[in-house]
Amino acid sequence: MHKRLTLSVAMLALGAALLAATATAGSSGSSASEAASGPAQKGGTLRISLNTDIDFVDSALAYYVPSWGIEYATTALLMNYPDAPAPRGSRVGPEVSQGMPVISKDGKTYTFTLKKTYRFSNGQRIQAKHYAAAINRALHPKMSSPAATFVEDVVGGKAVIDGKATRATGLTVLSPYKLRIRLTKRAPDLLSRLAMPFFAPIPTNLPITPDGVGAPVVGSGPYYISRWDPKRAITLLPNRFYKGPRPHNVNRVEYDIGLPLTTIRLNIENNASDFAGDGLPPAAHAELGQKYGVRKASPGQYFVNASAAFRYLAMNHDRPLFGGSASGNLNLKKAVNNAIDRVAMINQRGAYAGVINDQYMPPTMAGFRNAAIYPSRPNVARARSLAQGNTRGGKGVFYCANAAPATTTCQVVQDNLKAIGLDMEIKQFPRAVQFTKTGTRGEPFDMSLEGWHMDYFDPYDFIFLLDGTTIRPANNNNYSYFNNPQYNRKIAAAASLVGQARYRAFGNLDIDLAKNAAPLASYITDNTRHLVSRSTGCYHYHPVVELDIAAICKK
Amino acid sequence: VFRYLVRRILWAFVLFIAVTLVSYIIFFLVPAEPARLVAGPQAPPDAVERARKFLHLDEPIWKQYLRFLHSLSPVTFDGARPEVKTPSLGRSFATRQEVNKIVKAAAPITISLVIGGAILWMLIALPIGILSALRPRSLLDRGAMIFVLIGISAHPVWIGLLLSYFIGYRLGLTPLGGYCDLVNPATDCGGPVEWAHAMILPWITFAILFAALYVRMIRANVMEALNEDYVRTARAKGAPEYVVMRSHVLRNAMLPVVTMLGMDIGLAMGGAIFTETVFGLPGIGRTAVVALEGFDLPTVQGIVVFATVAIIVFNLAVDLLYAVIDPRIRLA
Repeated sequence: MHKRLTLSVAMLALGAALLAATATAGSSGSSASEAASGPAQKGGTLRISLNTDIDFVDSALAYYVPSWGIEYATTALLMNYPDAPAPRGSRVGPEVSQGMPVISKDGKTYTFTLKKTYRFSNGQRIQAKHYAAAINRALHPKMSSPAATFVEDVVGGKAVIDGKATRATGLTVLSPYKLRIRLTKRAPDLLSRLAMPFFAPIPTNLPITPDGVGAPVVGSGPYYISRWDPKRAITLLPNRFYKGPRPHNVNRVEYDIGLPLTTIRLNIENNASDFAGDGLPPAAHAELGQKYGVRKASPGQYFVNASAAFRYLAMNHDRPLFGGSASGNLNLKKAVNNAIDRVAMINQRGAYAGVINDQYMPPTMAGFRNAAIYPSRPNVARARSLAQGNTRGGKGVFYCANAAPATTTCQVVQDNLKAIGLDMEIKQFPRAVQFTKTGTRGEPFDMSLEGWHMDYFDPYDFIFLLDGTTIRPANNNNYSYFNNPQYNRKIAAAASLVGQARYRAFGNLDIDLAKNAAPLASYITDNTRHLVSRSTGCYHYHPVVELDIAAICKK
Repeated sequence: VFRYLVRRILWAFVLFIAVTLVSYIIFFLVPAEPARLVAGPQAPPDAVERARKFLHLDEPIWKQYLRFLHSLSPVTFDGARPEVKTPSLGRSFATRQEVNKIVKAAAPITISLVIGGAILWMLIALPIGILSALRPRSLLDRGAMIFVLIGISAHPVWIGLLLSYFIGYRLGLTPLGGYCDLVNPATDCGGPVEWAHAMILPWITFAILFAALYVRMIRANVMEALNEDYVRTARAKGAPEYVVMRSHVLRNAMLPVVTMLGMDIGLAMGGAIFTETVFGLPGIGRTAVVALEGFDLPTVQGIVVFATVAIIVFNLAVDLLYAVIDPRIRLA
């Protein structure tokens, strides 16, 4: 018996010893929490944590917010957004292009003259052919790039997409530093589209592969991607040939991928990580705001800024409840806008989640004017008087995502609408299923809880959600199926303008639509909520890419 | 043994077809559009349609399934003569990476977790289970039962978060999460020491539930074996106690444990989802969760294939081992 006992105790001790040994042996490796917390300086390593991996490092394929943050730091575009907070950071201007391009009178031909000082991270000079190569590659059907959509109006672009040509005839390299782009139709938003990282210069021999190229990726901006181990890590290193004006403060950027949001938050507070690349736990914001104070830019650790996104209720004009004519059931739509409790809806998203917005463009968008059309809290009396006699049976189907905070937000709306005699039956789906369903014309829903984040910084990228000419049998983005010829014409007219006139026209149209057509009930412009470690400085919120990696510094 | 193996492999093939077919059908019953996810949720209809064609999603399900089986086959009949090729699990819808590579990258992490966890839970369960059986209703036995109750009741996510917070964050003894490669580090940490350091909390989290179950099972089996006639006979014949324990009690008591161990390890190879998620380990389980969220069918199928093979192999190994441990059992 004694021997049995001894054996068992020995095994127990062995197990405990193994645990202790590994814990002790590894403790030296966790000293990241003792990272420098001294004065601001150039250099150091910026550590960014991502919960979910990026999609691609290939600029023709990368199409995810953190991916674009990386692309912004590693590419030099013909036109780009300055490393500055809004409003300057949201105004597209020349980067590698020497000033604004020369635009033909018909608005269909753009001629860019390039600066000669830019080089790739391998030392090669960046020339016009490298931008033409990027556009042709994005159009190539074998790439199946989401970027193709944004340049299919280049002359010959459709032929490349359809596999009938390998190069768009509308792209002409006039000289090593001169590029001409011809379009099939006037497109005043071309410069904004070219400011998307899809159209970063690439070496002309970059392979056309649907998988995208892996790291290392030749960079054209202040940094380049030296390593990407999917689901594990990404490393950015400085482009030593970069001579442009953009900042590049840290010597190295290291991404670790896959940690849970709660762990990421604790790591940042422990100074073991510097930044959460794709968000924080929703419940943490109230505490973080109290602990660090809420700021817009450095100094500080917790920052809240309005993003270029909005959330809304789409009212389906294809169905009798809200539809019926080109303008739809206008009074009921206005009644919904008056009945919903926007404050309660925002509260479902946690502290500092956003600002109330009853219009369809975010306040950060050029041209936006706050018209304060609908109340933040329900105006039940007004809503009831508008709804009276217009509820058409008083029953409707309401599509929602089946995850928080959509579930509770929909319950708030359901409760609000009961007050005006509308009984909305909530149907929940995974978000991916929901937008597939609501994007299919004829789907039996009357209302859907939706959201929109810009693709490129232009007001059309918001207002086109109500452009009836875009409606197809499936895969729609116009979830309200609003198709009013009068407004379709107004949208087309605004889209044909340039500069301030364009912003003014879309700003007016935004108010006009919300006030006089009310196809949506907008309730929030999302805030971006960022936490940085105590050793991180030089933070400012970039209105387009959110985290400006190149500008950030270590203390 | 050979006939037995052939029969088992044939059954495995049938099982494999059934499992992959069912997962295919389930995937297509979900009314989501993977092409839209690939093209981007905000993509215009033309782009989504192009993505559908690119991913072959415009083809009927049966054709897509046959395409999957064809790419998985180690032999191709495309040419004039059959040719041997590397079986392919296809390409991820979301990242366009080869699923072979995705599974190959994730599998060692899950194997690290499961094997390390299994060693740990056996290190805990064996001595506690045996001691509890030898001294029923003692202080140790009652303490072990409390451990069993907590281990079975507490969810791995809760345990993982607590360990991560107190041991990782408050005491700073271990990393809060993440993985360090044992060899050829992909990140800035790696090597056996940092690997073990990073895995200590996941192992504990993963092992607690199983350790609790195994303590209970070992205790019951040992107690049962101690009351068997052959144990009494061995003692009556004057066999030393350690011989009685090793050759008569444990050898018989461990038979169901070996069976369970094989099944549990095989099952866990399909993904220790909770532990991997809590500690951000990019193993099979976490890869499966991400793939499911993104409706990434090829990756989901790749993981299903891997898990099916793991379960089949471990069950086969257990069956073979059984015959070695217990001479009364023959593979017939």
